[in-house]
Amino acid sequence: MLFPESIFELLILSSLFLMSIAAIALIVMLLRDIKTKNLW
Amino acid sequence: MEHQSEILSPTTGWILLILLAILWIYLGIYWGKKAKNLDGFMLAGRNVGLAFGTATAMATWITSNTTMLAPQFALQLGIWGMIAYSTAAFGLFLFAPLAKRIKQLMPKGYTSGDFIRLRYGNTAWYIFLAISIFYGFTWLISMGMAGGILMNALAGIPYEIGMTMILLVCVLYTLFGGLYAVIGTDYIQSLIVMIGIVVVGAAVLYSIDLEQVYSDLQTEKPMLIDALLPASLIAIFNNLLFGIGEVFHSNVWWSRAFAMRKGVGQKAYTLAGLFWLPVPIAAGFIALTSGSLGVNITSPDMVGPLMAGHILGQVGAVIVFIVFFCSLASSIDSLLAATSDLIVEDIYKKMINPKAKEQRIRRISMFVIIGLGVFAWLVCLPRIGTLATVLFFAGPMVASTIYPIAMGLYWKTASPKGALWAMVLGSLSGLIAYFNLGWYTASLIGAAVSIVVTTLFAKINKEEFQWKLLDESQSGPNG
Repeated sequence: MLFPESIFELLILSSLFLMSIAAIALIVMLLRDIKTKNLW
Repeated sequence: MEHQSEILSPTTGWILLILLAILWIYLGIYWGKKAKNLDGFMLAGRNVGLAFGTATAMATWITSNTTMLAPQFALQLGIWGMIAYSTAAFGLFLFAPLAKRIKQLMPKGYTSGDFIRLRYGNTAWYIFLAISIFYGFTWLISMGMAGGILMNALAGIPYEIGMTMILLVCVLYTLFGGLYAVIGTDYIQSLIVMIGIVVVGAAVLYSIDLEQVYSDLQTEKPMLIDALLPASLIAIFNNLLFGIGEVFHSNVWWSRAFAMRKGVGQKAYTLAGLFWLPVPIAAGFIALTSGSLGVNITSPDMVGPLMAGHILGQVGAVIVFIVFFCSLASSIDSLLAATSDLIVEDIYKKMINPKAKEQRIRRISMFVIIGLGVFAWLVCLPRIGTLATVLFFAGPMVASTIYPIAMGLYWKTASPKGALWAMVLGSLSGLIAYFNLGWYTASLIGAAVSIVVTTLFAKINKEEFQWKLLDESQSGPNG
């Protein structure tokens, strides 16, 4: 039994989308920590 | 294997290497100025916030093993191979509550070894140190090797020189800046790696149709998209347990739990797990397109760099080079710092010279970082085996530590004998499975035996552990 093509595509596209969101979130978190002086 | 199909000229490779070296060493020196005492050098002042905490956990977990082994997994085990690799994120998810518990129970702790010694006594501690230090070396060596392989594949820089350079750069900035430098550079490295992987992934999607890739796989390698590939299904559980074992026992993660500000650890590790989860799929899927793009792969651990270079050409190759360099550096620096902490705190300070002053400990710590770098360099010189062979050998051993650690943090009846035998029997049975059944079963069996042994001993044990004994700042250095 093979993986359906739609699952194959969904897996790849969603992983790239999630990584983009993660990169943005990291930048936002950094700015917030700098603003609140909670960097380290 | 040399110069198989480099995508950058050696000159460009050297320029990039030198620029990155200068940047990381400069940042190491700059952030190192913050490390005014031992807590600063070893644990970045124990006050790391959410952004740096999340990024350092994530960047450290994105290693050469993610950016190079994930495509290898995809090439050999298909879709399940990538998913199997993603399950390593559960190591971070499950460590999140432990990070909170560790900070709560051991506010002044330094290493994972401290916990095992205080919780289970000396015999279990010695076994744990042997496993943990062996694992640290294995990881370090696998990444030193990856550094050499990568620079050879991408820019034709000879393996020995590339490997030497990456180890040297990481040793230098860790030496100057301690955990401050490691965590600060980890933040930048994690961003570069994430953006780079997204750019490479998008370029692949742009250059080839996923429908075409699927149909080529269907006709040429249907095994890779098989939903019931038995070896891959076992690999999922094996990788999951190996990942959990790696995070639970390793001082790389414990030192970050100690370094993060109170209330940050659990959130940071949860977010790091979430951010890490898609990385092996995003980095691994390009290997599945190799057939459709007509790229001939002669060494499985080079599939990632070769594919990226093939698709992106010169400008893209520069991005790929930087991404791979960052993914390696972010883990090598962490390992140098955390393994040196383990050797200095657990072996030097606790076994050899308990009365050593802070200045002396810091000096010893620097010697140990250099020593670790030299040792890794010597072992990396002859290029042996594939990355998977080297790394997965440690799998059953670290998997055998999962339960003694998790139970030791929550169950008062978890006993020293149980922890000791769980680690010994779990490691032995896992290694037997490694040689007789296959690497993808070793961690699974090691962890299963360890769970049974730890639980049995805890059920028999009548004595209850006093949690306050874990806080040496209250109970004194001898517990």
